[in-house]
Amino acid sequence: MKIGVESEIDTLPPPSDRRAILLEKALKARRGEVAVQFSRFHLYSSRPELDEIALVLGKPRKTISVAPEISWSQSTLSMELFLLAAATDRSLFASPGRSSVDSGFATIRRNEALLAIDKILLRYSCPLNIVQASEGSFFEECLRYLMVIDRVQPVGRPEERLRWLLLTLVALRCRTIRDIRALDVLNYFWEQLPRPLPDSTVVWSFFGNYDAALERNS
Amino acid sequence: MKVGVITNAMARGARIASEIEKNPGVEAWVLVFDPGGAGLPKRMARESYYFASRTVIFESLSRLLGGRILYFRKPIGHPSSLERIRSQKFDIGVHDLNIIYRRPIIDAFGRGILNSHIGLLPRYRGRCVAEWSVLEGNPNGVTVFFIDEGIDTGRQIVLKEEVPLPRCKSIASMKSFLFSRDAEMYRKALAAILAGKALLTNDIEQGFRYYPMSQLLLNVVEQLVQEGQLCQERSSRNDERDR
Repeated sequence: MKIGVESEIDTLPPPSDRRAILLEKALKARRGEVAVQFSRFHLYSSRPELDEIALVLGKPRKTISVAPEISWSQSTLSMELFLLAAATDRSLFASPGRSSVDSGFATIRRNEALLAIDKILLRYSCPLNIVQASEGSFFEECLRYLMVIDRVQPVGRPEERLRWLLLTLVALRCRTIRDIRALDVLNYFWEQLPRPLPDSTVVWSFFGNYDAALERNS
Repeated sequence: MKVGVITNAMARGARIASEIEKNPGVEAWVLVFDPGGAGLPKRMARESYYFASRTVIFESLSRLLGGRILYFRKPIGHPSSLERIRSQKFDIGVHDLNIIYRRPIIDAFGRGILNSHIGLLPRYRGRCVAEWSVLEGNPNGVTVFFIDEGIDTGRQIVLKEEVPLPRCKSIASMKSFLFSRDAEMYRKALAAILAGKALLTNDIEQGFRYYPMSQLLLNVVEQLVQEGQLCQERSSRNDERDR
């Protein structure tokens, strides 16, 4: 049994092309939705500014620089601005040579969310090391945490900021590397967001990176 | 070889048990658990749902009368359940229960517990793997492997087969078709074990863990499945192989 109009089926492109066409169409449609939402947050920043920030952060660093007096979990800064501050301020230096998925992330528990944020920032204050191949295991752990542990948690809880931080890390990677599996984690959370969308600096930061990630993967 | 089919409905377990007993030397028992603690009325409703054919009813009743269906009031991980399983000295368990098994449960079966997974390992671990296979343009299939405590990370693969998909109306019907192959795949896997065939290694470094798919991509997959292009692609590939 054939589904649809006969002539349509006969004129369909080969499967691989068809997949690519449908996928591109879907991602473009989603980009449109995100762009509309993102435009609501123009007071905070713009896409070119975000791109500029990402460019600065995108250069892997040999040293980790964390301003000890700044903690994103207590700050009102956006994720990007905080990361930018952390990455450029003169402060505490540590070696970045730790292996992937060390105790820093593996010990994260739900009730330690704020501590976890600081641990991740300590490790990723040069955050775009997340795109390095050596951080693949850490990245997988981010996905697992989001989709297995965090996915079933309600919105509006104190640990929410950890979710946005991890989503931002995933988005930062997806705007650099084509990875539809990781991008779909962002798709999934976008669909779970309450409507109307929350108006906060944490969330708009995610929108900007999600938009860029969709563009990269389209 | 004594095999225990771990299930939450007698009818489902009986269906698998009767299929795997087509292997000479296999004696199948059905172990019925109630993971949700649903109680007798819900249990009966669940059983009725699976009594879709006279064959299954007959199989279930004959097994019941033969004493080869064991009902458990406690969860499978409860000490009393584990003790009862151990006392039966099963060689292998066959998974048909929607839970993650802890080590004491796995160890209660001599060689472990087999799982029929509707994705081709080691590439596709986790959730929605049939959908991801379609989206990534790879063949669909089923893998039978000995489980461990992780998600599709058991190291020993007994059987792995590509499954050509028929024309499907939806993702649900595609998955239903793949799931319906479980009894047959378990039979083949047990035959391979009885014949002493070498096991494959599930090298998880060669694959990824997949997660629930977003609605955005599910819509893409649904359309691909409905258009049936992937099915035709696989069918033609198999035609070539057959020739």
